[in-house]
Amino acid sequence: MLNKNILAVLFFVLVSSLWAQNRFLKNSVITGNFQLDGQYYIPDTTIGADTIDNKVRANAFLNVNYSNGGFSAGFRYEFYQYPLIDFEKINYKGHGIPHYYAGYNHDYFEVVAGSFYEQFGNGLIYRSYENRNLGFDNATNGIKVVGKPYKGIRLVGIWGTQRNLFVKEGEIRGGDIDISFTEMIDKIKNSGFRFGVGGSFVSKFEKDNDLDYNLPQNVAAWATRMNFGYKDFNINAEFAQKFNDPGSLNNMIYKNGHALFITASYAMKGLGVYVTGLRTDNMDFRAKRNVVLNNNMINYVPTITREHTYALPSMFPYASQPLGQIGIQAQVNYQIPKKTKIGGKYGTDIMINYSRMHGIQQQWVEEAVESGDMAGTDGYTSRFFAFGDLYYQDLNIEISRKFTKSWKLALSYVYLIYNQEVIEGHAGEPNVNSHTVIADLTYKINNKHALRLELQHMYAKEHNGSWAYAQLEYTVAPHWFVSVLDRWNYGNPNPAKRVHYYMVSGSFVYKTTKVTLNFGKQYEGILCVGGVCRAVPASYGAGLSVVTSF
Amino acid sequence: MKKIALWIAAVFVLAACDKIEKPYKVEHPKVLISVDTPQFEVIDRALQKILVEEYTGHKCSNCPAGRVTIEELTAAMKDTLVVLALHAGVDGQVKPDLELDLCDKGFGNDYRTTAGNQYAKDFGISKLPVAVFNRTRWNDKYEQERPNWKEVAGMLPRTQAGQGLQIIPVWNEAADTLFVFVNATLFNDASRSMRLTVLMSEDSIVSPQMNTTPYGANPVICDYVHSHMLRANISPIDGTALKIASAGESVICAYALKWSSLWKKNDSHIIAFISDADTHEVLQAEECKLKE
Repeated sequence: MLNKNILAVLFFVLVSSLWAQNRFLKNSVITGNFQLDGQYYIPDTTIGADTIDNKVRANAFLNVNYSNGGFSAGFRYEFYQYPLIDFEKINYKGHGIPHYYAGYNHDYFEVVAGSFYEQFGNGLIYRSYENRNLGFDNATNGIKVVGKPYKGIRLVGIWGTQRNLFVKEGEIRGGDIDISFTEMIDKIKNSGFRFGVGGSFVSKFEKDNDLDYNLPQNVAAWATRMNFGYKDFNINAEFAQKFNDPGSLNNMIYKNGHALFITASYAMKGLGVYVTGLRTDNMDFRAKRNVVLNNNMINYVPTITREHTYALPSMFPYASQPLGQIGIQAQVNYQIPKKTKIGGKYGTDIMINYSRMHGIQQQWVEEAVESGDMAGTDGYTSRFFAFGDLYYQDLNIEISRKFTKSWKLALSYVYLIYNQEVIEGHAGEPNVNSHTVIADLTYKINNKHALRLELQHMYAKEHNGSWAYAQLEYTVAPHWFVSVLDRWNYGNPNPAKRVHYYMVSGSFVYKTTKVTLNFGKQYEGILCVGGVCRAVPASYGAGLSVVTSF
Repeated sequence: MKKIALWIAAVFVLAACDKIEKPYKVEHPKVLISVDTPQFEVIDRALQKILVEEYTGHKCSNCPAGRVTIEELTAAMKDTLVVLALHAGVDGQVKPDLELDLCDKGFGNDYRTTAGNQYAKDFGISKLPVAVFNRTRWNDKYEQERPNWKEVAGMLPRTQAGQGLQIIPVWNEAADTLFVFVNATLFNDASRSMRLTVLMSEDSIVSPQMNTTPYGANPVICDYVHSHMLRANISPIDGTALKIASAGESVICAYALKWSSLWKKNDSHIIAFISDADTHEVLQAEECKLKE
């Protein structure tokens, strides 16, 4: 009898474990993606492409994520052992698994241990994120706890170190609260109003080993924000303050930092208006005091200028200046209605965008004037609306219209003023004044075949002078794409540098995999995403890119 | 609401902040020292010298090759060249790495300086090794890559020097302080405002260095000898204004530097240079070896 009972129990355990295992496996989901960007480099003295000992380089990574119900875990293997020269120049070298995490997500809470990305408000005091093109990844490594105690309320706490290339540095801790009264109170929700507030605190720790300065080992920053909307109108504002944080980038001054970011928008059928303003003063916030480039950034100060996608105007992007900037951006989008005389059969879209950024005026404090050096003082004072030097101005107009089912044309004009001295750190260089006109014509031959022609011309006296650009693309949906382009610096004051930067490329797409091959020359310039920038060296050669997901 | 209050309180605790009160600078014990201003010989001409700032880093594997090029330049130009090696510009190649388990963790040494960081920023240093010649732009930029160094050095003007610099260091052992007196003399009327900058460099620092060529395939040299390394600024980083304008005028500027036990006196040099206050162009440079 006893044996029968034991057998029954064993049978039950076996069946239930198989059932549980089967259910566990059934609920398991594995996803991921892989990317490889390789390049074969050929030296070219005309464009400044150096001779490179190791001519074949590649960046690659593999993301693997596992989830089962609320549980998730994953890792990323990154391979930069022989990196593309862009990345080598920002010290991306090595390989390993710098990103790994495990977490659990519940209706009322969420926990993550390991590497994570998070942002408080607009990121003025804390944003951890990655941008692979920039070679930027400041993931926090530690713990994140999210509480959702009531509808419309979200609380976040973080504590950890910061990723800097392949090492973990610094110590960051902080919290954020976000309250949406619209979600919390049905009366507001049904009234057409939207209202929410939020606040955040972040603190970093770094030991004071300095012989000459009394340095704060714990540096805190706080921010408060609100958003208000009624029907088609919306306004969003955030103010941030950082306490004394002397470092090499702010010349060891003890002044508090401030930032104010406001956006307002109005949208109705056929019309959209968007205005945004930004002022920052000593708001470079990093996990370590004596770092440069894009390393160890804790916060993110957005740029409010337009990020151009066309090649020539994008040569002069604005890099956000957390140490001091003030400016505005305004944009109006209007659609001339379709089936009207001016609007045509399909309507005509007009977009006008204007942005202007200045430095802030600084009056050195008395101690700094006396010693001839701001280091070790409160640095300077600055009146809120006192505009300093012009850093950037962008006026651009875009008109696009579909003429028939097959033909579509977009025309643009871009007028830029670009302060090289501030944005690129090239002391003594004059401001660039550039005028660019662009024509973008698409001809849809049939449902599978399409041609696109892009013509651009930039007139400038400064920097490398004027440029012309032409690109022709041919798409055979859904698998093939080929493109040929030439960027010609015909107006370079040095005749030897009037170079054609040509590029031929082709892509093949199959399901979730895309393979791209290209050959040509890369212009030495600056690449910015969201106001965060890095230098792009000149290069010449053949490239291969493979992107796939599963 | 109780939960929210607890969260906010926790956040306040986590967001600890140290508010530093004045004085922000560490006040080193003051010792009253009396130092006599030395006598300078009157000069009416001087050799025109060139300042080469070599941006380098101990984790920059191409930098030993840069050092060789600098040595070749020094051999060719003899004492008309004043060399300063700054460990600055590309953070990942200059900062100490305590985790790097090579050469008894010798890469943990920190050779960065506040002055070096500032200059790297001012002159847009974006890669290593690069050099800045007389703080002048060539091909639209200050930083010059190694293949161009000899060509740029050859293009620098060898005109009659318009300024002369004399340096006299005076030791005060009791206070472990170095006093530096610099006499600046104008040979021509000055048409622009000028600044005087005084720095200290050190030779023969044996410390690990990453490497490719020309010292063979060895990727790490544990006993690499670093030369001309910027160790400290003696004047303010951006220099002090020179208040002389007429030919024949001279002015003596005095500075003091609290000596660090990390520096070797017999391997150190004082470097002084006059630069254009507006363009940063170096007009004259001088170097003086320090002796105990």
